[in-house]
Amino acid sequence: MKRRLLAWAGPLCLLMLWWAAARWAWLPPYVLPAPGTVGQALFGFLTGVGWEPAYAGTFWSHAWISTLRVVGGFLAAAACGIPLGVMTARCRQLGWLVDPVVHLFRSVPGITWLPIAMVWFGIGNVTTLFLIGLAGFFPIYVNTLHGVRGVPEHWERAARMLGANQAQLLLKVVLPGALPSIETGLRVALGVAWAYVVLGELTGVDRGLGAMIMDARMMGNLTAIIVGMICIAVLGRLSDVVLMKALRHVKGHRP
Amino acid sequence: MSADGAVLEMREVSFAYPGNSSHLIVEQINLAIQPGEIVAVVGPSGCGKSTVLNLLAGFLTPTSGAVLMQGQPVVRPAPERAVIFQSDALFPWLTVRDNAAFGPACRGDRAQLAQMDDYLTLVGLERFAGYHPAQLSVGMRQRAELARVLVNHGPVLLLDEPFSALDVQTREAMQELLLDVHARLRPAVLIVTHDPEEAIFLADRVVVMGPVPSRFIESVAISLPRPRTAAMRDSTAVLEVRRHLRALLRASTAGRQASWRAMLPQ
Repeated sequence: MKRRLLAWAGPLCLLMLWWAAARWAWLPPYVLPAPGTVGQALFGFLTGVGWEPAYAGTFWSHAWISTLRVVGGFLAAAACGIPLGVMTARCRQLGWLVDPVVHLFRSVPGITWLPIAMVWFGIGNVTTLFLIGLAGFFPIYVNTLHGVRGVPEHWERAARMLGANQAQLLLKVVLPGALPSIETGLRVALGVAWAYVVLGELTGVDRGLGAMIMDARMMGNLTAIIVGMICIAVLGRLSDVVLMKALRHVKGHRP
Repeated sequence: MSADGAVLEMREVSFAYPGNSSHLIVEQINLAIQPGEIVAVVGPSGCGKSTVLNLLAGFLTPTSGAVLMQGQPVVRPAPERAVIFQSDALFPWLTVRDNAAFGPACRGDRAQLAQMDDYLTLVGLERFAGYHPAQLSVGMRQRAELARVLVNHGPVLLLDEPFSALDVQTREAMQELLLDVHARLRPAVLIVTHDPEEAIFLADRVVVMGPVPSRFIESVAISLPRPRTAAMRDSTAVLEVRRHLRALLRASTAGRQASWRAMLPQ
């Protein structure tokens, strides 16, 4: 109960501060619209009632396409990052070969890939998926590598002594042993994916929450931009909850 | 089986870590463990006791010499030479039952899986089968480890300072449990320990190791009758052997202590 109260305390404080800033006109409405205005717009965005026709009721189509892009890019990042992290951790020579290259590219800010991706893949889904996949790959790879290398040697020795073959060693000991670290990588990557979906959708695609925000920016509609940001924050949090529940199912009960 | 009936044997075994072959950890070790025998290895800290155990288990390969299990060279770890480790080696994401079933499940041995409850009862954990290791005390975790290796029906048990992290009461209870299990199942046991009293109470024979590069400097036969009881811990025979073992250990570390003293400021 106390935990839930504290979890809501931060957002409530922010909301009150925002409300106070609007109520006593600390900032003009064209810099920061009032919470009530944004709330009405959000309601219209979700239900189609009482907001500008350009945005009213369009939440579901924008959210759906953005979610598809996030899931696609995230799965691609996990499909590359986890196996490569495991292989690099388990094979020293492969580590010497791959690790320096990965860390070299990891230092390059994701946004600098945007122009290259647009040249390679044009405007659209592939560029967005590429950016999300690339940004999500690094935290997943690094955390998987760290987790697998951190599996205690005596766990592996115990498994080999008990008769586990290489595949069983990997599936029954190494991966479960590294799972807490892999989970961290996946959660960071999912958060990054929501950031990069907006970046990808700013490039001129016609649907998606990023595209909606870009359109609102062109129109100077700050209320719509904030509505889009709130939707992304909520969807990001929801996707994290879903991921944690799925991983809890994979991990089983660990006290 | 080898000519003298030993179930597990080391013949002229020397070991150095790869890339550092000039620095031998153990040198020219000979050891033969008979079926049902309990052998304790004692020695000063860092003398290579655990290296001997790892060579016998198949985790390490001798630089020279041979390790033989029933006359066959040991090339890799196997359930026939079950190991209980110094540090907690239970898998924290599995329950006690699933930990104990790990070996038979990997090998697809349904007969051993069917006997799982018998072994959990043997070590007194039948009511804790559904618990995870983090929910158990250190002593109970050691019992779970014991069940996990016993269920494989191996003829050899290798124990690497298994009770060193336990308090005195729990340690003595675990020692008595080990003797009870040994009396029922009669595996050959090699236990590595730094505690001469533990070695005397458990073993038929105590082997003393010298400093690195380590050799066996003496093998002391323990003439205590079996079954051994708690009262024997303070018997005159035990005290005499303990005095002798301590003298051997002190002599084996004398050179190291002298070099430490020389390093201290005068």
